Amino acid sequence: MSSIEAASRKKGGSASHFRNLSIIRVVASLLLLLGSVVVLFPLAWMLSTALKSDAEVMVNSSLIPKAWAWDNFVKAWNSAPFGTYLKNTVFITVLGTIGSLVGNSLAAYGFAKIKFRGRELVFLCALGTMMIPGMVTLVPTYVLFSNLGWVGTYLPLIVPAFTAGAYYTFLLRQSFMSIPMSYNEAAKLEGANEMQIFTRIILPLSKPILTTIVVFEFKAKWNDYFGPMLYLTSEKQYTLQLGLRTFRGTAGVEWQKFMAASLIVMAPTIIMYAIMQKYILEGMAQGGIKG
Amino acid sequence: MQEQKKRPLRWLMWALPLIGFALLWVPSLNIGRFFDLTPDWTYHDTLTRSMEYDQLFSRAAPGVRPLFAYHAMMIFCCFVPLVGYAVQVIGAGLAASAGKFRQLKIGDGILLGGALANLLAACGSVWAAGSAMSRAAELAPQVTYHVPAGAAVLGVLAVGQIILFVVNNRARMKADLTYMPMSRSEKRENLKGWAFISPFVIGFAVFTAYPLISSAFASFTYYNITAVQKWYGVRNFTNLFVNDDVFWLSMGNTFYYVFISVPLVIILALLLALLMNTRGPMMGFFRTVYYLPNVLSGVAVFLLWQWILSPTNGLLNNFLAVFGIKGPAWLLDAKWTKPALIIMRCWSVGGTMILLLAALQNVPVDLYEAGELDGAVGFRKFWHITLPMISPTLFFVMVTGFSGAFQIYDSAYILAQDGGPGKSLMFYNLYLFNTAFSEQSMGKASAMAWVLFAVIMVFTIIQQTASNRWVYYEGGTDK
Repeated sequence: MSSIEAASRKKGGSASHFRNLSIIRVVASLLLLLGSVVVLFPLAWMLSTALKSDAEVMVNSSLIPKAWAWDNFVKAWNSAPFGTYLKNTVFITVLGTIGSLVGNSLAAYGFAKIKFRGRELVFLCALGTMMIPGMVTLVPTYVLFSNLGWVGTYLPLIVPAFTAGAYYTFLLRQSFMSIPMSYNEAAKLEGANEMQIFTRIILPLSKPILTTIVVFEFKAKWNDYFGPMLYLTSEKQYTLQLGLRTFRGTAGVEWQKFMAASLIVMAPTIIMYAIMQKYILEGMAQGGIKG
Repeated sequence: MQEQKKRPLRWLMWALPLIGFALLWVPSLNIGRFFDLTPDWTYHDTLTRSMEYDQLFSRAAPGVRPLFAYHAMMIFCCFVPLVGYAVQVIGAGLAASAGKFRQLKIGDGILLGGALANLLAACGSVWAAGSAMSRAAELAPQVTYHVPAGAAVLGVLAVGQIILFVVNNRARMKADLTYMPMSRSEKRENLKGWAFISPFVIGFAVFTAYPLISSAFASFTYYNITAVQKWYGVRNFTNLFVNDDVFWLSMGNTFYYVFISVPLVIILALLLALLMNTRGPMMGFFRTVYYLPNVLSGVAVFLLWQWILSPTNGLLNNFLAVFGIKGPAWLLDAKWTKPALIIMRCWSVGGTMILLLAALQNVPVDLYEAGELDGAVGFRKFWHITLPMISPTLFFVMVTGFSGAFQIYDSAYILAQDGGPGKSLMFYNLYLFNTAFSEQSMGKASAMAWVLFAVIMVFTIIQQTASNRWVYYEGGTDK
């Protein structure tokens, strides 16, 4: 009914609040350009600071360094065991992302494609708890992990990812539900079992939303500060985010080194975003993931 | 059609849980004690009189665990029925509202919930009493222990309830001609479904449901992670409201932040989205750039901002100096710390903008054409067409924005863990975090978390109620 009607309607066109569009467009573009300079400036400043020499950093306030101190990156990297931190971060991030993908998509498939008793009830329970602030569960979860003896290991950072969270499950379920049930029925007639349908039909058809979730999980795990801070006790286990903390020494921050290290730490997320931004922005617009 | 047989002993399904409630819960409820605000620990006089207060509740004294177990039993006996009866009420409500649950009627919900609660309470008290009595007697012989006679009563009740449920179900199945037993393929579907969602169910039980219950319980206890948990009544809450200045300060700071940053971000995002929606050149590029700050987070970004906001050599003050303005000390000046954080928040306005832009792009063109025919231009078009059409998204952005802003703490923690100058950055969640992990007062922290939840809930409900007046859902209320 109305959804079909709506689909045939031409969308999107607030294009014109105003009559003389071309002037408005130029003005809008100029304003947006100004805005994007404001948004990008801190990052440009970061890069420029990272390239200034020790002597220059507090004196030269222009954006372009006089001498390009590329070795800041090397110095920063070597000022703490960042190699180890990188290894740890990659380990946590990769396992966490895989876990979240597996757990969430399995659950979403169950909710979207299989009819069973209690499905609506469980789903309602999950949705109902999404409003509860994270701090409510943080304390008991910490106590739970500490009673299990998991504090000081990577387990608290990885295991929960495998057990699926309400939010991603909800998003994936929406996406799976948009795939017609007739695919499932046809595949069943061909003799495929549920697992085969899931891996060969449903997953490949849901690449955009899966990509979005990968990126967001990756970003969340890579940038996570509080999880590692609470649960990792020895310096050998530290992640990059905890490593960055070491620049806040007692003698003040060495900004050029800190910026260099920050850029290295931020690089994977930026690159990932640059490659996948189309998917991410679409996914964002559809599902409303808060980044 | 066959006449529906009267179900046997119908009154018993209501009566049994009530009997259990009366027998066990009412005497131990002790309402006066629950609200007892005197600082002394007087809940179990016999217990406290026998041993020193500190000795009793710290792990330093070896062998107090059996006493704790005894104590836990008492709490357990009081608490589990309470939870159990709550479960029963909720279960009954769900069973009544969801007609889909085949054959499950209100009475059955109550019956099953009651059986579960009573069984749990019975097992719990037997277990606790057993482990407590075995050693507590030799440790503190002067204490008299209650025999958990209630456990036996509860056990009998639970068994009775289960039998009654089965009998009832049989009777109804025979009476109801439309009832079809589950076929084999249905059973297989059931099994498959639960297998697929099992990671979710386990995660939900362990990392959501259990922490929720545990936190609700902890908020009524004195709970230092290194010592033993003890019943504290509502004192955590009253202490917060009456005796705790930092609590009110942090609440005030949070409200300041929330009520300035949320409207500001939404207005800014809406303006940007409107500009983007003119579809001039390079919009793809702008979209990418504005969203970029949202994928960056963590220590690096916060410290970058610390550098930008630094009073003497910072980017922002250098920029202001160009216009001859002497910028404030931002993060070092109690008056300017929160504005500084709000500026930081505005930097990542792109997330909200993307959502609003998507909503704007979904407004059908013909509405504008119709509007033009009626002579609407510029602002009037925006006010009467655009705004109503994007109001569902605006509403979503508002609710999530408020709830997110109330929970701010990461930036404050990294910039100033102690709350900054004059504790001006001591946000509610930061105080909560410090209470939990620096002070290690888990009970107080749990109470704080629930207070925050209540505050957020109140705001969500207010917004929800108000939304009837301004949020417009195209195609009626069903979507």
